[in-house]
Amino acid sequence: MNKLQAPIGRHLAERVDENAVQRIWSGVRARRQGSLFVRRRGVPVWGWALLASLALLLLGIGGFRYAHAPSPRVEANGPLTLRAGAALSLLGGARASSDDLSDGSTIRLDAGSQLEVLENTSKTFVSALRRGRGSFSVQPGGPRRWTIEAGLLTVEVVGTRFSVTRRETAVVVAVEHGVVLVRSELITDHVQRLTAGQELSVQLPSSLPLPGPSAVAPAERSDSTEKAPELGPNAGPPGVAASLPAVASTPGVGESSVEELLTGANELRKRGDVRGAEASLRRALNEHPSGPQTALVAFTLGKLLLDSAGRPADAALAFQRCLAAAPPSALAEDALFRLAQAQSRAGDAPGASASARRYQGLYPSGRHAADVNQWLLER
Amino acid sequence: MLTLVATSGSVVFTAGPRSGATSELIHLESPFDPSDLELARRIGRGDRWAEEAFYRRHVQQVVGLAQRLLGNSWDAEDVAQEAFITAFESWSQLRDYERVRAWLMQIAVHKVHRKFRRRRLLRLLGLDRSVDDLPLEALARDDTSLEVRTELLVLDAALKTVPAPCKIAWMLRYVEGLPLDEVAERCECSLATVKRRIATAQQVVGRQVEVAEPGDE
Repeated sequence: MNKLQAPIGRHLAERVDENAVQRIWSGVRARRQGSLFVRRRGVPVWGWALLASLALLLLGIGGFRYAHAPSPRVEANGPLTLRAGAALSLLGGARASSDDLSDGSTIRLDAGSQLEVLENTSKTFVSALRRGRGSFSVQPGGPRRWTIEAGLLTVEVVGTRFSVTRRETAVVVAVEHGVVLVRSELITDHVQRLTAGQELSVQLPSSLPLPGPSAVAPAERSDSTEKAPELGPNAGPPGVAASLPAVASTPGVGESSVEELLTGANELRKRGDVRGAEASLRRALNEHPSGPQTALVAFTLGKLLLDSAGRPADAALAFQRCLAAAPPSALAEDALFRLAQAQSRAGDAPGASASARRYQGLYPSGRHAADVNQWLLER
Repeated sequence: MLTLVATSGSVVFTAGPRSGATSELIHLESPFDPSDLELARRIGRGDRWAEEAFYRRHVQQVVGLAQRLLGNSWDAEDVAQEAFITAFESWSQLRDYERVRAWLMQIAVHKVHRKFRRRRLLRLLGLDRSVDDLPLEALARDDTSLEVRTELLVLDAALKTVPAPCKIAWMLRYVEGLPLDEVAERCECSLATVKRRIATAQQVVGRQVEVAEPGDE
């Protein structure tokens, strides 16, 4: 669990503009000058008296209804399940669906949508919207931090109502109630905060050409695996060679920029062509083995292999390659966490433990510290 | 010879030396920037200019406190307006002019309590249309890290489930950083009651967010 240092107010600013200062003073002055019935919102005193009388009359009815309102259970321990008790793994299908969860949250999926549960513990609930549209009503006050991956972006919530729509060229997040954080490499500052009534659409730039099928060779494992460059201080445990299989280059195809290959890979992944996306990313790494974008490409490849291709061992290699490329600190933190995840899913328990402990040491108050600490405790 | 030297908030007169005499510094309060004590005295005498000066000096802090406790910009402005009106109307009850700021904040916290009670009544009647547009995360400074912002989001959600008196006491302690005796004074209750309220809130908040104790025990 992350730690906040009191006084927490040190992190906060006062949002009071001059208009508000004038507004408030006008009300104060009016009252001081004898206008006893002036209230900013325009509700006179007699109105409140009437409301109070009405309140006394209705309180009995309201209290009765309130006492009998179903109170949602907030599951404190263990993973989320469906309200009926069934485990959560894959939701959605040809028909629209609505699932009530054990903590009182609800997930509604449109027809043809699919939501895959990636991680489900007493502290976190991570899912991926593979296609379509999902509406989420997350129980406020619950112990879990919800994360929804939707291809181009990630939505983080703590008790709110919102929807995520995954289209061919865009992902749209709309918030009905509460606050969400949307993270994506394609938005300004890589994170955006949305409140009730706000909507964010993240689109792929349409101006960049997509690589055609003939320009990208299918991923092939070469007999001679290339050795990883010397691992930096943020890399995985010593002695582990982070080697990635080489991709056979297609003759006659000119070198593309990293941005084009990255964008192309995202587009292919959205269309469900995971192997094509993988090939595009591997080509980016081959053609641009070093540079400011290398770490990002390796990280994207790792995510693809872990979340979409179901190949955690290869994903672990990709995350190690990312760390070896000395990424910016935010990306390094995520890459180390994902490395531990990938190693765990690949059955490499010693590797996963070492990565988790390394994360614990480097990022004691990091974004994933709570999950890492919990995971290490359970082992 | 007299030399005027302007410093922030005060004017320093330097008496020029006469034959053999050493210079003497005399600090005077500038009429353009009176202290709270001076303003309080003048408000007590009915000086309306002093009322506005006092208001402008403290409005940001009062609104800011109300914003943090209520999470709602409209309600915060309401509370600030009510607090200043009450303060000016009951100025004669203020015993110690030197503690005028603390007294004003105490009135503001009292208004916040009332606002929460009113909201609860409206909610029971299904008439509450307020929108909490200022959660703590929205008030975060621009240079706040994403990790802290996320924790503020979690804290917001946890505090929503805490009863209002407990939430106010907890926030005065851990958000405003006040010593326990000042929290009790602002909440107009005993130290034992404040400790109990803070413990109640901490039982809920502590499950989701870890907050280090303020270092002024």
